[in-house]
Amino acid sequence: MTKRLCLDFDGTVVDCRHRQMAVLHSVTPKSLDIDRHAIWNSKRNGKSTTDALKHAGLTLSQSMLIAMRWEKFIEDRFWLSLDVVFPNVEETLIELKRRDWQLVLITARRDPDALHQQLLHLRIRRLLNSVHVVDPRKAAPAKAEILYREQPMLFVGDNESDGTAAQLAGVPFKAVASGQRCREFMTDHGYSPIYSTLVECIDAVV
Amino acid sequence: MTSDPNPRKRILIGAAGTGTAFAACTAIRRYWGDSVELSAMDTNPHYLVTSSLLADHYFQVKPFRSPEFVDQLLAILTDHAIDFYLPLYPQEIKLAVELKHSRRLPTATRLIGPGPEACNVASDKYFAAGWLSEHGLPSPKTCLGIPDFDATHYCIKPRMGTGSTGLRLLTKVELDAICQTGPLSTDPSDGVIIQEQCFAPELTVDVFIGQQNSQSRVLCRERLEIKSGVSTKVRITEDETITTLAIQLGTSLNYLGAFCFQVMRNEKGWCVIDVNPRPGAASATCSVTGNDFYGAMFALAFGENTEPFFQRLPRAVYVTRQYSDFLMIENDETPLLRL
Repeated sequence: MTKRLCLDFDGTVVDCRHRQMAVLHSVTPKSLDIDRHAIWNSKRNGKSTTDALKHAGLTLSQSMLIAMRWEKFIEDRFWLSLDVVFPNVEETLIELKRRDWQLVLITARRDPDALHQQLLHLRIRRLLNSVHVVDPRKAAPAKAEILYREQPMLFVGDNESDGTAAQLAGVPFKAVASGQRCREFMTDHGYSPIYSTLVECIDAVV
Repeated sequence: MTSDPNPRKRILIGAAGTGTAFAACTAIRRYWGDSVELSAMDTNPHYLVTSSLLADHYFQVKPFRSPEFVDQLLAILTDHAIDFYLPLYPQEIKLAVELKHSRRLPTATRLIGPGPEACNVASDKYFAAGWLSEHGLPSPKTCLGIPDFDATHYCIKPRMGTGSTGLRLLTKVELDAICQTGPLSTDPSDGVIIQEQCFAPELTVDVFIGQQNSQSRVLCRERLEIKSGVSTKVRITEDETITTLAIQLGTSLNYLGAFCFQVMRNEKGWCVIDVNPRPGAASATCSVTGNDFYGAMFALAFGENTEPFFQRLPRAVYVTRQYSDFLMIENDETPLLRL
């Protein structure tokens, strides 16, 4: 069997918290004093951007409009430049390549070209055998389709949508708590064990 | 009540409207996210300063030449308990260095910037030429008033200018004609220097001097296209000769941190034509090659490891730049716009 590992990108390979919080800060009027840490934690507990803002005390209309702005800018290339690869991930992927693993990236993004540039900037593209970009609006079924075709030994992702995709495709799934969902949320949704980072997951599983 | 073991670092960045400040703010948010409380100041209102989108606090201040500026600056540093102050405009840097050495900066505020000598080298081109020669570093033949050396082509530029602002290229005949009416002004404030004309290519050299030699890093940027003073196409390389020159320059200046300088050629080889006591706006182009001078500059100031901010460049890399669009909100009363 081919040693193939599929990876989610945002929150699994790269830390996108800084980008998410910076965009939120940039689209929020200064008079609305929001606690970005609290909003990030709400989102990691499963809330949408709108609900997280509401939970932080904003009105529904304020929350909806800020979330709309956030959505509009979150994949702009400048803001994407704030993403950084998690510590030791590059070295881990290099080691996997050395051990003849095929690495496949499956991510949900609106702008595939921006992702491609980002992978080049972050020096990750050279380590990947292939990259698949799916429509974020139908992430789970689209990722499932690719997982079914790729038939990896494992898919690693950071949220329940990744888990659903793996389940649909009949592919083993491991969750990391470094991204869009926290450990408690993923545990509550039936995932176990939850790894803190991709590196910890690879060390334990591969 | 216990104190926070990891309090947010508070940073003030000056000249926030410049590309340099934007690159600095971007590095802060990229590598330290919300763990840094970022303040920015500029003469423009916040909605005309892109860095304000990244900053937690924004201050519109008077121009640094204004008598009110120092009081405004000191009030911000004190009232917001600023831990690190990064001035960026050359005269602002000079002012900050003077404030530090006259002990007027709050004691808790650490200046991210050059020492007084490096500041003089960066701000006074005549002083710089003499200083470079004294330290065995190559510089173009330079004089004040009337030319005291022979050359076929000369350039004159403001003694206290920045970059190539005010640069005039002249033949020997043209310069002789100008000097017939008397020596050129030598006044430190509005005088000019006369230099031999060097030839292309002009390279900007990004330098980081770390605590140890092994942590230092040097890259050369050749500007292939410039629009409105902004490098839009660059070629980035490593060069052994220039690396040696850069380390010697940084060491002679007792510099610790990031700065950049420009070199051109004369008949003897590379010579230093300008020194900037900070990275440039276009130093950010190096970050896409895995070499982030701003990130390393802040990491050094924070006492963190600077090595992750650099990697070797096995070959020349070309970087092109395009503009980004940012929506700026004029004031808090502006209704939230549907986009």
